[in-house]
Amino acid sequence: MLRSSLGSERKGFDGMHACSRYDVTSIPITVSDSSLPKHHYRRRLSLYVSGGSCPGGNMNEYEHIYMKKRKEFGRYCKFDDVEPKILGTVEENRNCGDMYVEKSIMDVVLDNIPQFSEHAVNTAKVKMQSQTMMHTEGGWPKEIDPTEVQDTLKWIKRLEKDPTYTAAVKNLTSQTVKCIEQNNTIDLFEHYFHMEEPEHMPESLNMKTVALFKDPCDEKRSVTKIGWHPEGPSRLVCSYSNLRFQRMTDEMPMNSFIWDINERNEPLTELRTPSPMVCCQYNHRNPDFLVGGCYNGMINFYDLRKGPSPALKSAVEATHWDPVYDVVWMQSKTNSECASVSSDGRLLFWDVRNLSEAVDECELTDGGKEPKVFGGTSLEWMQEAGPSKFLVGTEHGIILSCTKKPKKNVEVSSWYGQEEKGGYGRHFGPVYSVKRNPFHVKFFLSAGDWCAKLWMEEPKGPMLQTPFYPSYISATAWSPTRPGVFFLTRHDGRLETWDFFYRMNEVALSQKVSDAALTSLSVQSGGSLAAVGDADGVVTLLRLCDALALPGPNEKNVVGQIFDRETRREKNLEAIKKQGKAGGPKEGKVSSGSGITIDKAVYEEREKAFFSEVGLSGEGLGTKLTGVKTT
Amino acid sequence: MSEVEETLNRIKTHKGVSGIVIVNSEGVPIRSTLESKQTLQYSALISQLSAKARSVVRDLDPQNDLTFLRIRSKKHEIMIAPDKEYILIVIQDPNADQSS
Repeated sequence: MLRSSLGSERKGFDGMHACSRYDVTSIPITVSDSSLPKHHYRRRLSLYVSGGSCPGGNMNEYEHIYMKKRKEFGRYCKFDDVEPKILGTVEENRNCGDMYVEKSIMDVVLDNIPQFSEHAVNTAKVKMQSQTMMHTEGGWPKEIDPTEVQDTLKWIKRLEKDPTYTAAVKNLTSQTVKCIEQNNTIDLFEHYFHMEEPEHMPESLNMKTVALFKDPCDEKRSVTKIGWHPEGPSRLVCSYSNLRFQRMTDEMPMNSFIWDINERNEPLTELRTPSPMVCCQYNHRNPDFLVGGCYNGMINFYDLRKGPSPALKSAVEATHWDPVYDVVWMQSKTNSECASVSSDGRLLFWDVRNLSEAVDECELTDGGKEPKVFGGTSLEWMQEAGPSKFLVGTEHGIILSCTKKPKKNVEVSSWYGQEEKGGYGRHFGPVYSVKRNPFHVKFFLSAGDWCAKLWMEEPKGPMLQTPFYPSYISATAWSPTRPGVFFLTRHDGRLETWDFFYRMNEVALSQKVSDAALTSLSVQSGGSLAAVGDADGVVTLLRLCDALALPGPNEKNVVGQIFDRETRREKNLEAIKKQGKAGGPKEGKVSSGSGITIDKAVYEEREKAFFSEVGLSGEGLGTKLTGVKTT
Repeated sequence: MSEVEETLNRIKTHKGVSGIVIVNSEGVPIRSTLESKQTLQYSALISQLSAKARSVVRDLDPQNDLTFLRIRSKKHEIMIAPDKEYILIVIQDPNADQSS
């Protein structure tokens, strides 16, 4: 006998929504066939009725809430008691049970963290300008003129007699005295380890981008040179040009800019020029004077007191025939001498008071009988290294040293890296930057192709060399405060920092500065600010951490020793090479076959001992002595 | 000597105190031991600052009020005691004895 009862009750009936709740509370089952075990029958039944809910025991409660109008349910159902009817049977099959395989390893991932898709939004650039104003005089009552001393005095006198005033002052002083006494009792803000030497921590080197100066022109021009204002980190002169052959359009703006480092949005001054400037530098002594070299070979002299247009321009017939790649100011009494180098293969000397002709000229040749001309791409001059010495990096990867002797023509005196002159190790591309170490001026760094090389004035080969990078090196600079630190800019947008005081085998810090190729670099003389220019016309101002700016104890000497050691090594190698050349055949006889001589008996004895120790015995073990002299 | 003068003189005797300015709520300097240009600067700037500081405190909690403001700088400390009507500004160099 099977009877099923389905309890139904209606809850609420408010117009639109009707809630009906059907509870399958229980399905009592009565077994009529006593030949089968009770629980088996139930299991079979449960297949029909509850579709897999646990057989026997307590039935689970099912609940559904329908949001439906009553009329949509159709007619009322009527339940009647009927005679039991068997609709079908499923016979028990024990074989199926044998086929049941329990899944022992389950892999379930549960996660209650909602998944989001990633969004990036670039908000519009907001140009900001800061303006300040300060009122210094005001707040006086209407009837009193603050400029009349008598009136104001009288007013103040009257106020001072006011009892509220005295009460207020008394009250306030009592409060303040507490603070004063506190300050005098303990130093709340005591600076611990104030005078300690900064710890040299090469592990935590870092640099932070402080500001970006974007070229206001729409067309992309690279920043080809950056120069710092000689008096403190306040201004930058940046020259913008496009050095790619014939990539300069007619509409490309020519002017270069001077930036105030506190004002990022607008350049302080523009420098007008008839042709884009490739390089521009402040005079060391007089920051109103600037000299710039143009793409068309002209030299511009600016006097900022006279406005943004060049005060003087070099005469076309007397100037360079190619872009002026580098220009330097020299120190002299008149503060007017400068030198420029260009890819036309000439180093020209100028006096800015008269730019109609060059004061002196030096042809950059290879020094052969039929001289080949080298185009100059970089120029270095330093007072400390000798005011008559000029270093010129050339397009051929060779570095020339030019000497300016009094009452004589300027001559090329050394060729660094030129094979014909006994040198080696030249760059495989133009030398874009030559920089003398500011503390050890005999040593200079050159950057070209994919690496930077450190040279000494005497030997003709590089003393040290960085590994080859996967991209071009465009500029280099020494730290003006730390003798062992130099920076390199790469064409893939990275700035490399080498610290020889810390380690020489690996770069100390490599930082991505820009997505575009970096083209220029200048470190401020304070040593903690570096400006890096890229091919998109953006100048990035970086603040270097203290470890990169402050010299370590005794660093100058240590770095000097490192350089001297490397020089000695280089000289020794050179000497060995020379010796090898001179006494070549003699040595060859001595070392024919092999230089090693071995006592045969001792050798065999040892070998035997070894094999017996290992546990091997027999003839034919070990090696035959061939090619070795035996005694 | 007035009572005010006496109290002010007493403050002055404390170590490191280099200046006292009393400013009214409008920013007018009433009494000062500094030279006139500095007095003007202090009174103008600090009255603005203390008004701003007070509005900050009150905005955060309307029942609250600013009672004292101390500005510690590299060279000295500026102590500002604001009142309804007046502001007392005292400048003190707490490291006066060390530097001298």
